[in-house]
Amino acid sequence: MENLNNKEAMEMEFAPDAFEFTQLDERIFDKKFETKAIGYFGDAIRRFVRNKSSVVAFAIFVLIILFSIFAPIFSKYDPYYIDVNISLYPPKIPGLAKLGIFDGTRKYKVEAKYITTISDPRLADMKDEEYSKYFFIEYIRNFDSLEEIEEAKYEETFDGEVFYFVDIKYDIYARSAAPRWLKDVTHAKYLELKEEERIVVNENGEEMIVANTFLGDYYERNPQQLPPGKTPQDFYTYKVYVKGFEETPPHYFGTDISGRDLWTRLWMGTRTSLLIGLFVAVITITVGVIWGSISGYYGGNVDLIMERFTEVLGGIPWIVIMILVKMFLSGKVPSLILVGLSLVLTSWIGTASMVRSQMYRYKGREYVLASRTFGASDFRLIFKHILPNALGTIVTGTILIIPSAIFFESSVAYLGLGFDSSTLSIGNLLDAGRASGIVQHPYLTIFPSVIISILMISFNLFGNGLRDALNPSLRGAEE
Amino acid sequence: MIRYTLKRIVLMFVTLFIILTLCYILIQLTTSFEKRVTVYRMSDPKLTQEDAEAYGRAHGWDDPIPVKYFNWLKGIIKGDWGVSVVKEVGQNPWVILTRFIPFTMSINIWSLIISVPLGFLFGIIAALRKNKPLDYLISFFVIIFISVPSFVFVTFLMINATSMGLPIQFRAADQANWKDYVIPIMALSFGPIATLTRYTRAELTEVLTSEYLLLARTKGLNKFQATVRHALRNSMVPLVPLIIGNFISIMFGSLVIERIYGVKGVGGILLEAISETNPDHDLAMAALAFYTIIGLATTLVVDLSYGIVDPRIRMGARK
Repeated sequence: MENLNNKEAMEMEFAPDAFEFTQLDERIFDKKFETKAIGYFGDAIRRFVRNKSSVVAFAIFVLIILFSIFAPIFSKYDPYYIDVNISLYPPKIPGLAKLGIFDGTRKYKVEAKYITTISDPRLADMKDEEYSKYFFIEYIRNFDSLEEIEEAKYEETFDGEVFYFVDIKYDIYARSAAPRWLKDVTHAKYLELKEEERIVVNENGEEMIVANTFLGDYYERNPQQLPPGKTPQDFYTYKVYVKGFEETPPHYFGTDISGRDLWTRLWMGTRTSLLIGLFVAVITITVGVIWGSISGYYGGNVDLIMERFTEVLGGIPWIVIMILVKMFLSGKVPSLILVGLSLVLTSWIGTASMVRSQMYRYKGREYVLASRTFGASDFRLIFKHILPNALGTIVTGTILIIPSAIFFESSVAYLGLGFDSSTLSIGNLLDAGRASGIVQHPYLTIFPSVIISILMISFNLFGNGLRDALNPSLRGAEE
Repeated sequence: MIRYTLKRIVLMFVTLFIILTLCYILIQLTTSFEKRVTVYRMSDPKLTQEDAEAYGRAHGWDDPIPVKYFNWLKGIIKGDWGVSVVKEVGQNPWVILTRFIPFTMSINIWSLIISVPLGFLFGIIAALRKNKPLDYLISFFVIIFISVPSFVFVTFLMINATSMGLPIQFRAADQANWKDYVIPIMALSFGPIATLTRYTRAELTEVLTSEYLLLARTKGLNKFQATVRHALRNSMVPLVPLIIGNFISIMFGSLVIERIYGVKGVGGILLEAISETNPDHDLAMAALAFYTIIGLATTLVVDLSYGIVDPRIRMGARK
């Protein structure tokens, strides 16, 4: 009874038209997200940026790429131009000279009697061989006068004979502005110098030159053998004693044994090394993906045979592969391809086996089965369904191929198995530095070493950061 | 385990055989009877062309490749690797190699001996001081020493050699003493130390958080005892193969280091023997075989060591 009464009371209190439908035709179950969804790559970038060391490494890496592109373009030196008169100039960077580094000086231990002033009258008649023994006080940076040299010299005895030595810091660049002997001067250049009255004339009125006319005289006697369009004089070479030129402009990283600018050569070499790294990575990934896909997707006997093949190939040490490729193809293909090929041959197996294991992981999944039921071809299943899912793992597994290719290029260049010597690469520069003497001219090896070290460190940090960022299993795991 | 080991050893020899066959045939394809005779003639100015050709025929250089190959195989079984025609004329290449192997091996083995304890030490310190300044310092050096190639280290060491009282080049064999070995061994050790440090730290930090370590501490062991007796032993499983695997990378790193520092080792012999102008084919084959054997043997030991350090893998293999 009471219930009924209640019901009646309710009906009394709330009239039906007091209610209103909040929704009638729209189906809304949940509140819409107001934040934006973060996709896989968005998330990867977000996590990569959070990793400070990787970002710094990436910035350095980009900087190196920019330098390797633009430094040779804006350099005023031709990396291949040979000038023996500026052979082995030490590095000189104008801004840093005040700090006492890279100031274009070289240390010498010389006999005190060979130090003189530039105005020494004895110099006027000297031949090149004798003249080049002398050092001038004007360009010595750690002593100011000949008297100081006298005080600083010390005595050493060899075979009972006493010599007086002194350690000096000699400014090679300033020295280039003083009168000096020019070597390997051509006839045309000689005439030019004569025109400009640069050649020093001694008191007897003779020009200070040493002419090598051997080849020219030969053609003079046998004019029929003269190459067309040449005169015998074109084959003369001179050593010429010239008055001071302008000071040689600074070479930031110095010059090599042939007087070529190391700064320009090094960035050109970096360019080659980066390109070979990229080239090897692309080929390796292509070959590895195709091989690994076929081996992993089909499995069974195909897999067995392909696996045995990679096992044998993987068992061959890389040095053996390099040597065989070199012995077999040397001279037949450009050295860039030769080195690239031997690097690919040693690195694709790792990629292939990784792709293979990814294939095994995904090929039994339901979505692959579903697609196959619909009649998808094997090709489509591999490249459209399985590979995109394995992409993250494959990319992170292969990103470090680039630095390792650069590293291997340098190693094989040291072994004489790298590019031919006309190609500029970091490895070839390092080997050239070794050949010029690591201890005697350290800057020739140090600069390429520093660049390759920075490249390796930044690439490894960057690669590690990228791997962590792209690794799906670490998503949202940190903090 | 024994059956598994035997199986692996047999497989290794099969692989070795295939690789050597491949190398032999490929090397023979790059040369010819005339070329080998010419190279031989250059070794002694008094030789006439006829003498040289007769010498070549006596050694079967004009046989077809399959015949040469089988004769070569027969020779190897008896320890005869052919004749050197450049390095030491008429000498068995294996005999030449055995004189140079000690230099190469001592550099490599010493570098392994030095790098293992140091790698463990730094790895343990980093793991125990995880996320403290010392750990960051070690990690910083680890990334540098892993990335920077060993030939850069050898360069910097050589530049500073005189100030350290060391020779700037490896001296001739009769003058060499322990001082000549310092620089190459140091240069080769930095990388492996860093690698081992990184992996020891990673493995140890994982083990240090496990429950049995807590148990070890609760039953009264101090931190050092618990780490060394319990944690370290368990983190060894992936580390032992890593250490042995490091040996391969040291071995091939030493090729470059030997060349830069002028060590008279197998690497130099190999590079001389494959020169384009006067190649020494039989010697090159012997040197290649040396590197292949080292490579394969190391891989074999790595695989077997898994079973030795981890009884579970050994059990699995018995089935």
